[in-house]
Amino acid sequence: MAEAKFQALMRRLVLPAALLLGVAAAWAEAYDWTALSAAQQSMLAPWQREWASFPPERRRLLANLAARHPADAPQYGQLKAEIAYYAALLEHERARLLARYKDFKNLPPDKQQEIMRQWLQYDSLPAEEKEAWRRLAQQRK
Amino acid sequence: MNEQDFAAKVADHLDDGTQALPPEVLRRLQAARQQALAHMPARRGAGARRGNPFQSHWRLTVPAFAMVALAVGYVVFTLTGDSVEQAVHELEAEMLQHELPPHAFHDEGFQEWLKRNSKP
Repeated sequence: MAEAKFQALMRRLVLPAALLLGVAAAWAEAYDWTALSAAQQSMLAPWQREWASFPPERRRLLANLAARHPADAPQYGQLKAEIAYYAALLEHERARLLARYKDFKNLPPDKQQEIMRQWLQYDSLPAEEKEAWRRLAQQRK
Repeated sequence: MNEQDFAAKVADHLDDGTQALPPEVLRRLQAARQQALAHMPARRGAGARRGNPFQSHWRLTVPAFAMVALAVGYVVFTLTGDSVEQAVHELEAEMLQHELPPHAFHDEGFQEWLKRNSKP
């Protein structure tokens, strides 16, 4: 009697577990490099070699980001260039960049707007002037 | 000589031996055998409950439980991952699609510019 109940319980457990396993495996495979579209691959090309080593969640987020910007979208080229820039950074540089972005995100909206306005001003400076600001930052360290 | 040949020879030898036994002994042996056979199903059931667990359903359920635990662990790990790491990946994806480009957060010159311009 108890044995029959136990076996019935096992039958109920094993099938869902096998299904879960299949779903998880399929989910991980869904963001395989070869499963990406040509436009996604082109945008994420700087990460092609290391793509397989990324955690599934990172692959999902980046693949979805690329999917939201198809090749004919106006921001496609800009995002592609930004990904190339970001991917070329060293690990510690990326970490510092993300820490600054996190600080920025925590600012009140009016302060964020002010920083964005400042960026537009700074970005419009001649290259030599921007270089002078970088040298100044270097001297302060 | 393999095991089966050996067992057949032993059985033949025992059969030969029983033919030499007196009829009374044979009759008593037959009665004892019948009695032993009559008790076999009950003893087998009781033995299974008391004895080696791998003789019973545990032989199937222990690996089944292990498989279920592994499957659940794999799914949880695959779908959730490390929460701190996941937060970093979410921040990264969010930053990449923000209006401000990544180099705005990386350009030390801009950080200096901000410090200078935020002063009263």
